[in-house]
Amino acid sequence: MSEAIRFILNGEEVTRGDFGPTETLLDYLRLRRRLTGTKEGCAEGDCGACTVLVGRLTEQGLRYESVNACIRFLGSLHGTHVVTVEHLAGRDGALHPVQQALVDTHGSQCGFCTPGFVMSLYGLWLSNQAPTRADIESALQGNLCRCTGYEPIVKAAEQVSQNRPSSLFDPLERDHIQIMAKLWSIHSEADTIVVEKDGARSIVPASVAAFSDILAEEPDATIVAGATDVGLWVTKQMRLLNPVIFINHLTELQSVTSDETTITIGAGVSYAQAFDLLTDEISSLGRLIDRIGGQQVRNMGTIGGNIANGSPIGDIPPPLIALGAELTLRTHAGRRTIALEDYFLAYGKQDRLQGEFVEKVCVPRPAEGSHFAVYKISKRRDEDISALCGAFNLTLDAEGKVGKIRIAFGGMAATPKRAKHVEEALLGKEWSWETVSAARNAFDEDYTPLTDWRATAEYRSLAAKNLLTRFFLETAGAPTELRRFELEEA
Amino acid sequence: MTIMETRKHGDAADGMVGGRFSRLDGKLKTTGGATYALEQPVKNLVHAVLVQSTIAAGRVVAVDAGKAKAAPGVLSVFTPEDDLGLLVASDWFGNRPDNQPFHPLPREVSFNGQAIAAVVAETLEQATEAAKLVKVSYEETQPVTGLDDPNAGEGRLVDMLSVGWGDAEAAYAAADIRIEAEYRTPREYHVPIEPHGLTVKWEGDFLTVWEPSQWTHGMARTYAEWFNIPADNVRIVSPFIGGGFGSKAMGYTYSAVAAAAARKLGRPVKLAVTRPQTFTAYGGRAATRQTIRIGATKDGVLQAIVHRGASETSVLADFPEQTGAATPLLYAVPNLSTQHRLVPVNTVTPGALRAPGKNPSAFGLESAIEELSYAIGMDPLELRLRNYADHDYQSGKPWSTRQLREALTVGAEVFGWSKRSHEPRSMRDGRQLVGWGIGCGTFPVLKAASEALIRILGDGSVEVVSGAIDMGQGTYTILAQTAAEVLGVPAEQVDVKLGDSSLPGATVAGGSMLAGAITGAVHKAATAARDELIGLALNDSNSPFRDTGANTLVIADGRISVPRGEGPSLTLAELMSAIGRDRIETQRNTLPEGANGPEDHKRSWTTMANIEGPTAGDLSMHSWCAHFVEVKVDEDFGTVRVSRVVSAFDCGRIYNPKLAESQWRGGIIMGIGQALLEEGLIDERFGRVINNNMGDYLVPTNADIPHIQVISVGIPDHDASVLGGKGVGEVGIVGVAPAIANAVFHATGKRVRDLPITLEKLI
Repeated sequence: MSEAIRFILNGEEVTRGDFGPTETLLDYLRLRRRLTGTKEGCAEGDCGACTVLVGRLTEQGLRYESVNACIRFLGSLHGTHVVTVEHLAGRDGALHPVQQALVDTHGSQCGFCTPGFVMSLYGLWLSNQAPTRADIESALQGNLCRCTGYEPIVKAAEQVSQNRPSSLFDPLERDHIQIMAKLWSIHSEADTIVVEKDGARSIVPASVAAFSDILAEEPDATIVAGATDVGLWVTKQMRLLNPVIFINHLTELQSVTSDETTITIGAGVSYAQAFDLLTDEISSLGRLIDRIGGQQVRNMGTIGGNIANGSPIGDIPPPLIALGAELTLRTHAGRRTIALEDYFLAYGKQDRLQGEFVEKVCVPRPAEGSHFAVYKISKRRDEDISALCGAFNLTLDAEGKVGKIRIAFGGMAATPKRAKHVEEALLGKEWSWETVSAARNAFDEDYTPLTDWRATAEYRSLAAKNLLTRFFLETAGAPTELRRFELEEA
Repeated sequence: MTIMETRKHGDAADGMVGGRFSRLDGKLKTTGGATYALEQPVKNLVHAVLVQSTIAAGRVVAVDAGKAKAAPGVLSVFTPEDDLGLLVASDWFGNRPDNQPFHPLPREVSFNGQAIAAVVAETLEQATEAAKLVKVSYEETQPVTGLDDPNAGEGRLVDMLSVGWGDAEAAYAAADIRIEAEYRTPREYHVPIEPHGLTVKWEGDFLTVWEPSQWTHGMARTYAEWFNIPADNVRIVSPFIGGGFGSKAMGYTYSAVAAAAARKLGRPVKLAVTRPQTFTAYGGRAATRQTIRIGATKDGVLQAIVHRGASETSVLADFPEQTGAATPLLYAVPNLSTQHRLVPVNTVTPGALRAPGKNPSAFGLESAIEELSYAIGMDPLELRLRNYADHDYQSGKPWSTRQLREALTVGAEVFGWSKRSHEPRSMRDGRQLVGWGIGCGTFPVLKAASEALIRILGDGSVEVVSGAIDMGQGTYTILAQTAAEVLGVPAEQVDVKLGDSSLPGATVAGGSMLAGAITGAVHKAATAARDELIGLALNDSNSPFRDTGANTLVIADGRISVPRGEGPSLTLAELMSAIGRDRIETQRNTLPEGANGPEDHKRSWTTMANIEGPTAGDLSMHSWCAHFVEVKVDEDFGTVRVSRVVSAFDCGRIYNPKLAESQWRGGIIMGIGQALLEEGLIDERFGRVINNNMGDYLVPTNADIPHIQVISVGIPDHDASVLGGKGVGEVGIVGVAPAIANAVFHATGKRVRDLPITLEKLI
């Protein structure tokens, strides 16, 4: 067992054995290291002013991802390379092209959000040589600017990708091999790490097997993967967590495999990885994932975490329930598999026994010729929690009747929940406007939604019905954009 | 954008004032090198954390701080029991009661989230932990939680804000067409990305405060008065401000707490206001309601406007969010009456948020004007032009400049307004309904005195020195441009020092008045420096120009030479060296002649008492704008997307289009947020702001913002300011929300009169 974590911060190797399990990367940077270029705007992963890059070894090599330092715990950084805004400019003070583009386009006004935007754009610049407008907007989803109106920042991203000098100074390209080597060497010491400070412990297990053994001994430990939810328990609710087991580094939990019938997603797969891997397989799911949080949150948050937390408004369970997914839970002694929908027992209560953790979710591949769609409705298009999220999985039989149908919603009940009455009203009937119109009211038997500030109960009920209608129109081949009035380009 | 290129004025080809300079502070900001208030490295620092009330009205009976005091690292807990020894300071206008004690941690609770205790500890974590241990017991009374509270009443009429001419009631009653509607806006918050907070340090009787400040001199005065020390003993340092929007122009109770704690403990104190605390540590825009009645002829000629509005304020102080502020200005109307009432409720005292008054006022009026356009079946653009005001009906004075007609016609042309079909629900794009709407805006020209110091140094470089601030609007950059233009040097040769109350006095960065005021002072000081330099060059016995016989010299491109003639040509450095000077220093102010006593100085930039309004002289001076907005509405779900904006502005001469356009766009996106997203939600039981964080108080993200085309149609207005500008920062937001509400009506046939326009209101 080892008693310190090791990581690289910009150009320097760091070993730390004296931090609490809830010390954030942002506090470490700003308060202990006086790297104050990284800002705190909200302390909850919304504004992106604290964006830094974290590089980690993956099967594809060294991968740098933008993350929110404000909700990233220090204990989750073992074996990574943390890059802050201070690392970009040349030693002679020459700006990195990303920085220069932001100056030239007036992408910085008050300047407080700017370092975060620099890092988000830098993350894009590193990973994508020719980003589309959509790629750029995706990279910027998790950064708020209250001054410029965003347009100059988007322009900076376009400008810097179009104008990519061939012999470019870039600190990460320059040091790539040395950093890889260092990280490999850190990972080669495959010990479980326990860091203790004032009686509070951070546990970094060496493997999934070690994790399951530790969890058996510490059944009340908080398991932290992406920390995009647990981070807020700490920064907003000021909760003390002890001990914390960090699992974000366990690549064993991060694989996506697929065969002819099933896609198997490891619990530790991030939204970003899932987006990359699932968009081609189930495009509607990809589009949904693109609207979860910002890029930073998608880089950190995991599919397994979103399920395990059991939030009634998590966006991942409804589509996976509609697809008929099964969840595998594991202890040090063995595994059990349940239908995903059965995992959610009641508000805040899940079928996870002491010492169990979510290992993977197996998603049946949508059948040939079936229709699957998931819709997220929220007040703000990006970076907002769903008012409701509805998923539909339909297979028509040879006569055009509803052969199989699974419908699941988030935001409509205390848990993610199937609309069984609606399914019943549709099953075996002709997939027609009349059938759908008649089935709409069955939603009232399935759900009694609440009114909160994201939407009223009446709105949720009506929008759920309208989603069914929208799904019908799309599957019935009716163009979703009925072009009755063509606007001329002004 | 071609229109911008051909129509903008003052975009001088020589690239000085009017040039498209990139901001001077861009490098510092993109590298993380710009240091904000909470990042000041101060030795021996301790941390203060606020404890806020959990009731909205009542009295603190007791504070049990025993456990907190015993917690690790805790140095002190301040409660209402402690007399911090402070005095009430002046208000913005310099009014101050004599020797009245100030208790920033009060016993009487007047809103939920009021600071009532503060814990100071060695580390932030220790102070935060200990703050959780402070137990407060209250005697609770029934709060009034908002305008709709049955106990709120109709409020108190503010006589000062009543405006009228003609007989509005009678003309309204006699009009052929009459419309009447009530419009409402919710509490809105500034949400600058930099949260508030400060670091304070005492050295004897001298106080240094690192705090984001839109007004270093005004805030220095406040601290000096709180602590009853000479104004010169206080230094506010604020070189960079992470967004203010009106919220960083005064010291708040937490500022006083931090400074008092530092004095009591003899250690520097840092107090970081958390994001949730920012929703009650100072006030956002007050909620408003207003009823507008418009009488018109059948062919759309306005006959009367009767406007009755109200805004909430706190039970502690009056802050009117004037619903009638834009009403008298936008249109020609022979009869008008506006009144405003203040309704005290249990909230933090509201504050100034981008275009205070003008903003909700324009939401009401510009919505009502389009309601009239549908009532009479007239295109809303035509209706606006038909009622164009050729002079200021309120003051009776001519406009200094008013290019609102140009804004409307040019904006309409670029937007393609003529292709619009007037009937609601008549335009579609696929399943989405399409709507077009207009909203006009205005903001007054406010004039204030300021001073500035210019130094020409031995190496030929120039320094501009002022206590004015730059919160992103670009003060550093335009002052370098101004000095460079006057002194004939490249802007890169000019260094600008700002954001420190120990530097020459400047008015507040608010009300769009700073640029006009401080460029005026810099222009004057730089002209004096230039005159002095030329005088020395002509007269100094060691100057190579002495014997040229020239009676003046020119400075251009950093060289000084004889006009049109042969003769010596020297760089400024060479001349300075020849005449043996290491600096030339000139300090000038723009106070009126004969008003240069020390008291005038002090009042001019430490209070707003001497600020001149838009009609102080013979003219009526305002900035103007017209927004053209397209929305797309998915009626199945009530989702609105702003898909296109074209906005034309008359802000006089533009000192730097790159900066001004960004300010306009920033105002417009804040207007989009106001129209569709932003709303402080209050728990009626406890008077508490529920959505006090950035996950739930929604401000626009990039995805909410379409392409925004901004166009300048202004012409230089030298009555408004020395360089001809009228102010760009505030006006951009004014008229955006009604333009969107109007477009939503045009798309759907649903008129939403209470902001924001959320999903439920359209389904």
